Amino acid sequence: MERQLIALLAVVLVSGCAAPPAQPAFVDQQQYAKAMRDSASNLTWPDGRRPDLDVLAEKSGPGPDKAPAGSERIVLEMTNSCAWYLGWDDARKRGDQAAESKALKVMDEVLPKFSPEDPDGQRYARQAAAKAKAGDGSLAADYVANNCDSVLWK
Amino acid sequence: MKRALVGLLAVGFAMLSAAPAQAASTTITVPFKHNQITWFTTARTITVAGSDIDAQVAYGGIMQLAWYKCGDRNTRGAFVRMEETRKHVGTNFRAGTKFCLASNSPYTEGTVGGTLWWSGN
Repeated sequence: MERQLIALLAVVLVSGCAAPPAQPAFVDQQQYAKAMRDSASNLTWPDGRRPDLDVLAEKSGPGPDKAPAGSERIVLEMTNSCAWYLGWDDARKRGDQAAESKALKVMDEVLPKFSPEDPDGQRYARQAAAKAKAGDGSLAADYVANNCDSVLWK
Repeated sequence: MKRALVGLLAVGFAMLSAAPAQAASTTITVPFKHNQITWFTTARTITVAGSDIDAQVAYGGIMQLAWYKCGDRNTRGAFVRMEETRKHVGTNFRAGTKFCLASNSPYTEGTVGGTLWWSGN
């Protein structure tokens, strides 16, 4: 019996050691800002449309409270969508066809994959890209007007 | 401990409410704290211009809901006391708007279930 208990204890210990380190469930403002800086570098941004991450974290972070870990992702994806819609419009205005094509590719292939928890948002992104490819920037413009005004671009 | 529990419920809220977002309504489970705002981070998109955000909750304590811009907590609507009948949380949103929800209570804390409507309403 004693041998069985020791063996069981060994299994439990090994299982515990093999488990990945637990991630914090909640983050404070400082941790939120760091996560935002780290995650932003995993996204691509068009020329001239990089957000001021300090301002973004200040406006969207938990302040004196806590935020669920990973919640910076939604804000970054929204901001990245703003950047590419605006970048596409910037490129059109200056007649930069290469930049315009690159922006359209991101709008078509990347932005609709953001925020799977919001299928309406994914559908909106698909429609915005389809319209933009046809030369109609109305949905992209609506998105920018309604979601991007608090972003400070660098 | 209490804050951690409420926070955990907030995560649960975000996860539970994520599934049926194809429709313009979903069931919600909303934890709320006494005199402290709980910021939920599930984003939803208004797809029909002029839509309202409505909610109703089951009996479960006096709580309030507000909408806010997910990327800017200073841009938000007033807190609206939730009841067992459907009430406006915000009105006349433009298509393409992404919003999140926040809760609080001037009297108590707890968790309440209900329904949220946000597009074509």
